[in-house]
Amino acid sequence: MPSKQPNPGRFAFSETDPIDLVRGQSQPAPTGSAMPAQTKIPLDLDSNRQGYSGYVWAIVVTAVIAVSGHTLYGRLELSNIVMVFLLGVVFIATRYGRGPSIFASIFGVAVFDLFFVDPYLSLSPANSQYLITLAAMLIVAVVISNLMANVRSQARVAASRERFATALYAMSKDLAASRSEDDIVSVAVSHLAEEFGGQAAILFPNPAGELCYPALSPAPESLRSADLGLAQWAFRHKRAAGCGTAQQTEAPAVYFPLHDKDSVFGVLALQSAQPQRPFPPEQYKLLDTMLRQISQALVRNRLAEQAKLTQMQVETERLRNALLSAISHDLRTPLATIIGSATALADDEGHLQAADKLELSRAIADEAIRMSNLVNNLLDMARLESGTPELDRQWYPIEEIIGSVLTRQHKALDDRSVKVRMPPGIPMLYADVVMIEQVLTNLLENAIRHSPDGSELEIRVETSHSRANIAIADRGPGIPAGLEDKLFEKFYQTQREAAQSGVGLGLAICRAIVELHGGRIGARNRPDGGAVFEFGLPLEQAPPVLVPEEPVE
Amino acid sequence: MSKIDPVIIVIEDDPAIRKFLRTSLSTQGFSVFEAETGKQGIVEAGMRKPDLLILDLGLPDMDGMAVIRAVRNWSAMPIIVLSARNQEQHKIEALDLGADDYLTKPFGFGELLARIRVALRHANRPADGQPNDIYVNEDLRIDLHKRLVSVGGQDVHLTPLQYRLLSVLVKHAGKVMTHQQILKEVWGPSYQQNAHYLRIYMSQLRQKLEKDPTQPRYLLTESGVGYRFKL
Repeated sequence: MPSKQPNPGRFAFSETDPIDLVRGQSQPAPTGSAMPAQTKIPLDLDSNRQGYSGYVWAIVVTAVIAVSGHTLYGRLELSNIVMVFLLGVVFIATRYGRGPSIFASIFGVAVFDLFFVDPYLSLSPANSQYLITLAAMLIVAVVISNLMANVRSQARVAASRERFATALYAMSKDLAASRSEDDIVSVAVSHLAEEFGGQAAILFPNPAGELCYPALSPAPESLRSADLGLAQWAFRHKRAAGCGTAQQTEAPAVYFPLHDKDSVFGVLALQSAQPQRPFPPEQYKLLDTMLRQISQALVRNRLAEQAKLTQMQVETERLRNALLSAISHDLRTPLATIIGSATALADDEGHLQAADKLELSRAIADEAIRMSNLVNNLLDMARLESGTPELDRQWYPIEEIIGSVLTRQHKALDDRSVKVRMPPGIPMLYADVVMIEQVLTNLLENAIRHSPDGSELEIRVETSHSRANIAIADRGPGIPAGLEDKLFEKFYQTQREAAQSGVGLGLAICRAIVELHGGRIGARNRPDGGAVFEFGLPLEQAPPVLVPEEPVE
Repeated sequence: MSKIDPVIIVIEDDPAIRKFLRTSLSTQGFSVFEAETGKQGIVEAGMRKPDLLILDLGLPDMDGMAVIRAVRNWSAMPIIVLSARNQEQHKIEALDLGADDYLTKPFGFGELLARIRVALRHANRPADGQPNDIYVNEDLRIDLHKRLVSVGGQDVHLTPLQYRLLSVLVKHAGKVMTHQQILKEVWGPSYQQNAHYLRIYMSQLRQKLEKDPTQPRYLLTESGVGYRFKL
């Protein structure tokens, strides 16, 4: 940085660190060697602005002292009147700085010499002894004005630091509360806009490494006219570009790369309220710190997301292992029967009776169907989990869905009675009927499996609060306490390795499908014994209108 | 004897399924010929003029739909398609193209045999034939000629649309009909998008004809595909 002398009001950024330049300003005293000229500019400007009135005040104060001193003339010793003039110089020095106080000293000594020392109205050489008075007053003026200048500058530094600290605190508080990259971006953009009175945007690279606007809906303070090419340059070269920098300094906005130690992960575009005007230098320190905080927040967020991803991978791995062990068990069991029975039939040398053959082939058929159901469940689960499956939603009467399921489950029901209780006038469901039938089928199979043969099953349909609830109740042993939710987890089985078990996917599939339809599913015990599985689906607002048919003649 | 056996061509790429179909269908009195690819199947169908075609939709060389289109160009022979699960759209497409029925793999042999018999019966019946105008099944009696429907001896009053829907289903009894096919026949081509009309009328028909509309015996739903009037 010292190699490049910054131009006042403009910033040349170092090759390695675009923000390093402004870091020098963090020295508290204006005496820091790395302190470039910029921070002095406002000081000079300040004193210039005040200076004019300072000189006027110097004349006024000196004149007032002269007039009041003159009225007391003769009653006071001259040395005491000199003290009053000195007091005036001290006053001017404290209020108006060096220039006016030096002027006040010279003016005061001149007035004193002219009006208070004999011969009056002439600067006689005999009064040269008052040069000592003048020197003392000058020294006092310079020392005090310097001290005051220091005090004022420190106060100014302290005040601006406090403002910086407040702004930074506000932003870092909001950044800490941000839970996602989008949150961080909108917090950053709104704070930058508030602090610098312009528009800002954070651009992230797409997978191909090209910067693009975030998909976030833009806030009023979002910059929507960023120069993507220039931003890309800043991103690639890891240096600031645009307004006030070495690269395309006439651009309306300035682009800062956001980076950690190793990599650049985005570009912040900032455009001040008055385009084409660089930011005032003293704001750069704040901007620098804000950029660092934003970068840190983004890094933190990325790390957190990475950790989440890792956690998910671990979970997936665990599930995969559970799946493998469940599948290998549940596929092997029916396979053992199938292979055994089939080889018995194939290798038969005429010893098997017709009844035996029938029994063996039925066993093969039953076990093969069981395997087929298992594979179907696995495929369904995989389909439901691979992104969001498309729903083929259409209007269906609930009774048709129930009817279709009961017809297909006719054999599994094996003459068990299913009582369907459904009040008339239930509106149609807007749903993917194949999926909803799957839910109903799984719940029905579950009820059949977990209740004694021949016991009654019940399907109840009712509507409440723009929701249709379908419940399937059985007279089985019910659900063990506390497991009402666990039942719907993948690979969960109440009795591990029970003979008639599935993989424990049926209810998980139900939950996935119901939630896909925006509904809820739950299980509970009936007060008089047995379990109820119930799912509720939202009833869509506008059921289709049917033109009423003309009555028959 | 074998001269009058109905001829079935099986177009299926999986040898195990072909073998199972040939063996089991032969024992039921059918002459079975096999084709491994779609092209071969179309050639076989043209050459042998079979009574029925069993077509797997997932063929290696060409889309099963293309086979249906090619065959339908010159023949109305019954086609039964075999499809995988979760492919309702394929089933509907095949049926709308003119396939007569479908079976989802894996299927039981009994089911296949039933579908084959229904398809053959439909094919052998003259179009708009008179002999099948009266359907009687347990307590349901439908007389298409006199436009009379009764359940358990009691006359049932149907609106004109309900009656038209029932008669369309009855004419294709045993066969699956897609929503689109029924809508077109009952309401006309401009109602193709209003499948829910059909479902409402089906529900009304069930209320009138079925003892328990939630456990229908005649008006069966083919999930996601259409309806079937069970004989």
